[in-house]
Amino acid sequence: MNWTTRLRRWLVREIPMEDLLPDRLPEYVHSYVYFFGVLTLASFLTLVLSGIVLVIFGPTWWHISALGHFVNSVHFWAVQTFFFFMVLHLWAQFFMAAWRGGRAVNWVSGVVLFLVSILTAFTGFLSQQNFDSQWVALQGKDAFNALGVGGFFNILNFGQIYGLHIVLLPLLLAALIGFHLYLVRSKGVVTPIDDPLAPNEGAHHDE
Amino acid sequence: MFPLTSNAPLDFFNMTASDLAIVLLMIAVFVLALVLPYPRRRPPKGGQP
Repeated sequence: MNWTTRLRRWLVREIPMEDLLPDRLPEYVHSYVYFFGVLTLASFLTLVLSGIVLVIFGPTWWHISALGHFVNSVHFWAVQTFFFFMVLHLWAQFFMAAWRGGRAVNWVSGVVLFLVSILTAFTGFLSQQNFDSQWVALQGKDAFNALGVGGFFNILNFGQIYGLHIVLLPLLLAALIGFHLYLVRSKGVVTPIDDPLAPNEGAHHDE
Repeated sequence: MFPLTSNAPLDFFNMTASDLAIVLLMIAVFVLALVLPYPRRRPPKGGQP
């Protein structure tokens, strides 16, 4: 058996189409508490789309033109909703102990996503190039030097920070989000605590 | 009371009024999401759900 056949069989076993794009979900998923994850994802997609437009036209455009200001603001406010809903998603998953039933790796990937998101937001803040961001870069360089990574990350260097912000960190985020969603679809949505109607914990592909 | 119209740091956690407002808003949204009713399926009559 060659590797493509093995990969296909693994994909079909791990995430069959009815799990990947389900048309039926457990009733408790209608609760608004289950809504925060997909709102975070929607904010991320808004960030990617508005970010691509900003990258195409460049810093002068987003600083000077009216349309540039608008797209820059869309990008800025999408970050606010991204973190707003991500933290609410974190609370929701924490209080329903969403690592139950073999979902520990998904919890850990969420923690990593949170940390990478903070780095991405930080490099984004530095890329704004306004006085606030220059001031933060000047202050933050001492922290980076104290950590011993000042030789690798010069946060006063716009080109370096901008490159991290628009290429490396978004790609890392997208890969981690893909992994996070794959685990959600593969393991199924976590059941509420103390729900007598909920299927058994740890059930694969629970419905 | 808190200087809600200024951006002066509050005494705890170096919070500004806008920081506090965001935290309170998040708690409000979270509690609303918990307590708001959501559509529940009626159990089918005499059959397996």
